[in-house]
Amino acid sequence: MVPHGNRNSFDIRQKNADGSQIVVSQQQLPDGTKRVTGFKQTDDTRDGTTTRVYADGRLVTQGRDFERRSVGSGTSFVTHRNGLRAAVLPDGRPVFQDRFTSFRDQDGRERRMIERTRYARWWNGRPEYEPRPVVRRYDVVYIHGAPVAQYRPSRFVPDDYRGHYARFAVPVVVAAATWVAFASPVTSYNDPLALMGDMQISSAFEEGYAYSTPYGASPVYDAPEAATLRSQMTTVRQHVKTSVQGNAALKDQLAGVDVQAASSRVQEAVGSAVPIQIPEEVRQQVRKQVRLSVAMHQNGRPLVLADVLASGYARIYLFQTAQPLNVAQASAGVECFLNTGDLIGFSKLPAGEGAFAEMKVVASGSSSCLPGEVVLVRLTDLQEMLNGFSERVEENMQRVSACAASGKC
Amino acid sequence: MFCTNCGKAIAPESKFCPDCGARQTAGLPLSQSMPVGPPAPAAAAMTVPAAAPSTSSPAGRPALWAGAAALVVALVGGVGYWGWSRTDDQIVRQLADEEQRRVAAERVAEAAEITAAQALLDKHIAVEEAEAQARARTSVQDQNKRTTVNR
Repeated sequence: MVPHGNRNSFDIRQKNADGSQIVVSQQQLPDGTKRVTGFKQTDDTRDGTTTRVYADGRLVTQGRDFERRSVGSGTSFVTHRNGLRAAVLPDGRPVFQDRFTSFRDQDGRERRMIERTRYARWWNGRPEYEPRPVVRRYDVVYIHGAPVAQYRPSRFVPDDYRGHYARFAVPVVVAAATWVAFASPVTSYNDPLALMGDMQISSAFEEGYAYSTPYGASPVYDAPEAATLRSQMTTVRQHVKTSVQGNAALKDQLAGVDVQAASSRVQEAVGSAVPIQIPEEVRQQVRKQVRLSVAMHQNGRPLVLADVLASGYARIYLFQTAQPLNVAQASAGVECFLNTGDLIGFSKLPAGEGAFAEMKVVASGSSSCLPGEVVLVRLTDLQEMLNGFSERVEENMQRVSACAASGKC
Repeated sequence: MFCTNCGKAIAPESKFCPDCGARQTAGLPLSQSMPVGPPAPAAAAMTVPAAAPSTSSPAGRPALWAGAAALVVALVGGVGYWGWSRTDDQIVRQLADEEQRRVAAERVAEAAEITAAQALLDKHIAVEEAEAQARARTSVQDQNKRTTVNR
């Protein structure tokens, strides 16, 4: 058993006969409730991979030069150490795929770029294949030595931007999104940028929600590995609880092992359709950032992490999780999950040569890190979030144009 | 009267307690002879009438002196405790005030930082939008020129 600093927070580690390890973490939340998470870790010495299956169905595989994350048997997201990324559907079809390419710039110099081909996008919780794959190009930049793609928007023709600065001729009626709840819901919009701001939030959570729900016939929460793990976790905790009761010293160290907490809370969280609460100030901030992103897109200027950090407004800037991430809490080191759409802001501005930033969760889905938690996020992932934000703005500009034409969204 | 040691009721003028055998040096009531924590000023005042009996006999004088001494100790202790607790309260209050002031100052500073950050973001939006509009105007002019040339 490994205590975390207070009697209600600790890890229980158990080695299995096959060499795998079960880790159950109990943590006391600020509201006094206990949260129990757990994973089974299997190390494969042949290919050097470490795979963790989490009780909520998440699967994370760390290899020598890659990390693969998925929610149960849903879409897998791969990040390679060389900066390339990919996403694959459970049936093996690619969602997007990166490759290195090069081109000659105006000075005749050869420049290395990352080319991302997107085959599908998410619509109403389902992947929809593009009639023609969308190809985007990224500059290769280095953040503390780690390569990362930096999206350089390809400008639309000027007319495509004009509509975003003038009010709609007829208000656009919008169907309420079931996955987000704004403090003051709006059913029709006069201002295109206000619509785009709200769409930026809801479309990303829609995508994240799609990753947490069963895809096709494959269940997520009841993936066999996760179900077996949850049963093992209950046994481990029951065993520890019995040991604690008969051992005064152990009892003094631990306030209480909550045997019920994990299964019930995890079950509540995963696949839950409880709308994500979006505070009004968060909504207004995202609207501003969308407005900035539209103008920068028109100017062909990328959203760059270094620029945000130097801008003077970094402390209020919100980052929208682009792809599911496994992150560690800054204080306890316990892992939690950031899903697509989750919004985070700087808790402390990064300084020095650290590869991570302390980020505070601002709004998140039910299976994600809780709002208010401070987590460590790689700077390269923050750049990927800026890329994703810019790309989503680009997609939503097209969606809003279509909405304006039909009068509804 | 009551035994000064065990508190049991004993016959008046007893020299020894029949229950615990303790010598009864002062035939004081229990409330005066037993220390009851740090007395409050009011409790000390309550002992005054009992400490000044005008009809005491010569045999009761040692008891009277002991009573007076206990009263002095109680008074000094009471006043000391009152002063100490007052000082402690003041320190706690002072620390709480300082903490409140510090938190309030931090909030003001944070609000000012957020306002300043918002202003910088607004400024950045304005700069980018101005450039975007200029770009759009140039593009329209170029298009018009091309149309004119083609005609």
